[in-house]
Amino acid sequence: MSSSAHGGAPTGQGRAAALDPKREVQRFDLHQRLQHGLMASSFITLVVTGWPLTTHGIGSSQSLVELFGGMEATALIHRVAGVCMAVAAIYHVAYLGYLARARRLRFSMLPGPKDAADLVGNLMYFLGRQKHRPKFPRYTYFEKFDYWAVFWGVAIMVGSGLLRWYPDATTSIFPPFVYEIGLHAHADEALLASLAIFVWHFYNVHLRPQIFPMSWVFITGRMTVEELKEEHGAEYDEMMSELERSRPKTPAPAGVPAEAPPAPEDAGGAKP
Amino acid sequence: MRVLPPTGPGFFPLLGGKPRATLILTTLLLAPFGTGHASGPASAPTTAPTAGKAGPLPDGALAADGFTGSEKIAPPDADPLRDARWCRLCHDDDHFESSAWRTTAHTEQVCRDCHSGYHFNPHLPAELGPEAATTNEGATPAKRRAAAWATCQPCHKDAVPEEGIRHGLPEPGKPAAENPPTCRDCHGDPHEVLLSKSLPPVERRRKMNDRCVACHGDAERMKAAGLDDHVPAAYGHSVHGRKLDLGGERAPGCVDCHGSHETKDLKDPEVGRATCGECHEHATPDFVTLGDHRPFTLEARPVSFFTLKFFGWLTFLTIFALSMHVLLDVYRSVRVIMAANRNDDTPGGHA
Repeated sequence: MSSSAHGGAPTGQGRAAALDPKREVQRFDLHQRLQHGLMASSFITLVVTGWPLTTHGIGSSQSLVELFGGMEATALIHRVAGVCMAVAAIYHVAYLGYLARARRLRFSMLPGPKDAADLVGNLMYFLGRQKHRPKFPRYTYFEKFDYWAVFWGVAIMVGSGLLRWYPDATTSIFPPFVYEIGLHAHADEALLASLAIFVWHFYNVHLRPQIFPMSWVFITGRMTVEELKEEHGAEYDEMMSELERSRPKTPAPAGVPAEAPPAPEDAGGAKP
Repeated sequence: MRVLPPTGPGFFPLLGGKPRATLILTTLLLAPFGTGHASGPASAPTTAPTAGKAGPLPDGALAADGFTGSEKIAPPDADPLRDARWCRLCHDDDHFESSAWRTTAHTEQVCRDCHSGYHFNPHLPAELGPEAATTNEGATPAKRRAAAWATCQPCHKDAVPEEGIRHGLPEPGKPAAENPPTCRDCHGDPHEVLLSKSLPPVERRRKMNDRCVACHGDAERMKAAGLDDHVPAAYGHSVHGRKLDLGGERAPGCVDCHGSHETKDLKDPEVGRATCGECHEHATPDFVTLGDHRPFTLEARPVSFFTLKFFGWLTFLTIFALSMHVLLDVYRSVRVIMAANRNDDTPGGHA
């Protein structure tokens, strides 16, 4: 997703207004932003409180643990943050359920053949074989990757975290190798997730030269039409043609919201 | 007598602050007239300590321990060799200094409580008794153990039950590596040994673990004893070991689970379950196997082995692919920006 700019207030009318590049569209509603915020803050807390256990031999890990108030306090903070992460995940699934009940659930997060084509197209673009980036849909293939990676990651981390939290209960229910899997899965998946978030996700959403230094979408939920056109060309086109189709019927009253498409309350969106 | 007096050059005013030189000289001078009990030492050392303030050594006390030749002297029950100042005339290592001594567990003891063979002073090197071997690096393990037993056991009766020591029975005649440890191997130098409660729990456990690892991490020694030397490494990687590294006060060290003098047989499921159960309320025999220090090898723990392999490759391949994607993106972005700078007609780069 893309950069900042709480652009100009909606001005003008009709088509001209819709095309005003400084107008903003609402991409994420409050629920989605809360889900993302809870997930992000619990994730960062979990990383900094869990990391010392992996690099236990070095002095800075010990200082970090002391900073949190000692081993027991660090463990407690880690568990509270883990519960928050589980709550964020449940919140999101419940939210999807609510949308489905209200028949407003869109499936724009599901991967499809266009994503494979977009990946190839994007790589061609990177290599200079193609002049333009593919026109991405509402969610690009790398955003979908992040979303589903979080699904996988939260399942692994919350599951293995519970196994490690209650090792004696685990072995009285399951054979002991289940705990062994949980033990390694938790540490290794944490490393994978941290690298994916801090290298890949941060680059894609904040550090890309087109966006640097940071994107505000995860806070405001809004994006300018200009950015939408650039980052999600296919969605932009769709939006335009929808406006075209609707125009003759209603001769747009002044100031009709350029937050044109109904608030996109579809699956996902909460960036990991 | 229990309170050790201060020492230092000022303590020996008559000797010009060089007690050791004077003592040796005196010894050599007296040697032709016989050794040991034959004659009393020169008067200088006899009176020297009393010249200092509050010296508990009575005038001429040296003669009281069976010495002859200085009849005017001391009450017969005064034991001059219970005053460590005499020993420190020669044995002047730092840790025999009273200030260091006071921090140890044996602060109430004096030299001869343990080094019991010396009835005269100064003693000549040739007259060192067999108990000298308790601190002699060259002594055989069996001798060291026998001496340690004889030296420590009279006081530490509770810690060294005669019937039940699994971790230190003397077995003379075996090579060093096969021999179980003596008191000193685990508790360290008796001159420096500390009361366990004088240390915070984390530091105490780390210190004790180091002592265990000194032998249990020694491949040769463990091979001779028929044990695995991977245990310290496995403990270090375990959650217990990691937490202790990070200062966890509830993280157990070696002896918390294994015991010390009567090391527990944790392979016995009931003993294992009870031991783990001290902290992990619902411990089962299966649970005990999680902490048995098996390494994460294919043979010992195949599930761990494959889990680690799986996640290792998953992480490597995923991060490699994602990093490549990022680098290519950077590469293209830089080219676009450079092209835009060269030619204002092509701003922005991408459509």
